[in-house]
Amino acid sequence: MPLLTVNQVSHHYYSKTDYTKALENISFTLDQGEFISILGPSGCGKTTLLSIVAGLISPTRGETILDGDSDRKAGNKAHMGYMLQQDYLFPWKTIKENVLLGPKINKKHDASMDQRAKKMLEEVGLQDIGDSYPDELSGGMRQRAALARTLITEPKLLLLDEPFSALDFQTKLRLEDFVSQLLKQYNKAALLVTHDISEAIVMSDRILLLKPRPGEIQEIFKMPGELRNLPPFQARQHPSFQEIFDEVWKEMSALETS
Amino acid sequence: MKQVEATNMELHQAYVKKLKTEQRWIRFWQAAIFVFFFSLWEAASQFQWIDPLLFSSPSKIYNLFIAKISDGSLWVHLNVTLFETIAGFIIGTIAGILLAAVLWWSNRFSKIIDPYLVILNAMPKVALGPIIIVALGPGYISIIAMGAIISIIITTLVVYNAFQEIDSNYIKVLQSLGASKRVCFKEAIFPASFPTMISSLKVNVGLSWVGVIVGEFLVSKQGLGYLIIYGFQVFDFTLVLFALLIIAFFAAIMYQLVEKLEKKLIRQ
Repeated sequence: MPLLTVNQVSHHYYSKTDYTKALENISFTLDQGEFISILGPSGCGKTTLLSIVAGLISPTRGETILDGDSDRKAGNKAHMGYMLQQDYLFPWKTIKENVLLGPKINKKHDASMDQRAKKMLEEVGLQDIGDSYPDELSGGMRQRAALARTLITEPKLLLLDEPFSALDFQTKLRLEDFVSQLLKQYNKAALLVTHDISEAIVMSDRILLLKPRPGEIQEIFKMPGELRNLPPFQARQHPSFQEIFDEVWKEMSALETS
Repeated sequence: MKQVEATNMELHQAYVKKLKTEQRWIRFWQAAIFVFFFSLWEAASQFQWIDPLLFSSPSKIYNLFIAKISDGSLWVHLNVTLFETIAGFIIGTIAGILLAAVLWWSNRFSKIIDPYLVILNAMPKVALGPIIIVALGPGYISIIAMGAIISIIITTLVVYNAFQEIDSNYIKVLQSLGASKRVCFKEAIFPASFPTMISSLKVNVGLSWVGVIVGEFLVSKQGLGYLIIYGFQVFDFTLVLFALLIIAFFAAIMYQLVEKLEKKLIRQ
């Protein structure tokens, strides 16, 4: 059984005079430990799709089933970890308090959680900065702290909304490798939204290409095994990377001109 | 190498010294303006450049100050007014923030109530004075109500605006962690609005004084506002100016206390 099933999801945005079809008839499944990227030009409803999967908005039509549960409203959100373009660490909380936000909200905060938070921060390479405030950290460190905040709740599925887009190029490459390795280690599934073709190729097992207005799945690309098993940085240098890049690029350019 | 270190140290010391000198000059000029203003006032009064009956003089006010301290009546008036102002200030601010929270909680309620808030905000609150005094009786409760009512609505509007301005992605983060609306308010909306709340506190310090003094004008037997209106009626402008200076002094102290609170609440 797949971890996540998205079944014929459509979503409309209404205004007084009109309505816009943001998503139209999206169906796909995601297995345990699988990494899927949703790629598309801006305005194709990528973030809307992610919000629906997260249970933050309910779709106009269709359903999403996570781990056999289709009732997505009733507190099941805790099975998800959501990462956004920016870290959105709370500036008035220390890094440790930020990381412990999930346990605190779910009333699971105790001494053992403090230990876990410390371990989690070590895991993401941020030792001894638990008592610092977010504005004392660099962009890459902040995004790693946000990752620790997401992972401490042990989510079944990670939702990544362009989490590397606000970082400088070197930090982005390093963090891609880091996240990819961490997901493999914990065998977590992830859904990444991005408009960066090469990022989608090197991170994913499959890429869903969305076409805009209305957001429909145009094509699904399966990444070859030799790329999937390489860390993102090395995958970028693999001979078959360029081949796939050209293929996806062609498809995506066709979408934008049509 | 060692020499470079030494010069760096010297450069830093020079910088610190420059900073201190600058600070000293600012303090000097502040004191100079103070001394100049009061000496000019005293001289103008002594040499009859201004009418001493209307504008009094610092020495007369000082003598009155000593007299009021020794007969203990200053404390009585000061206590009454300070109590009323602080009570009005706290009630007005807290009620304003609570009302803003209610508006944030229910979008529909906030839309329904919006035109009434606009009207209440535009209306001069002190004009309600006579009605408040009739309703609550001619005592300190009415005066506290005046001090509070003058700042409630503006606090509500400003703080509600701050509640709405928070980046919705912070809410998204909390919701994805399973937070309820109440938790979102406690963890994000409320703390993110601290700076706005502090600046409305600063405004409210001034407003509460206005409300309380006007309230004391209308009805009171004690207080600094009473001293002003009494002095006016018996044409004792030394008393009026004396009360005014005391008010200015304590309003400034209250403002300083709010700034202390700001430093404590908001990490720089």
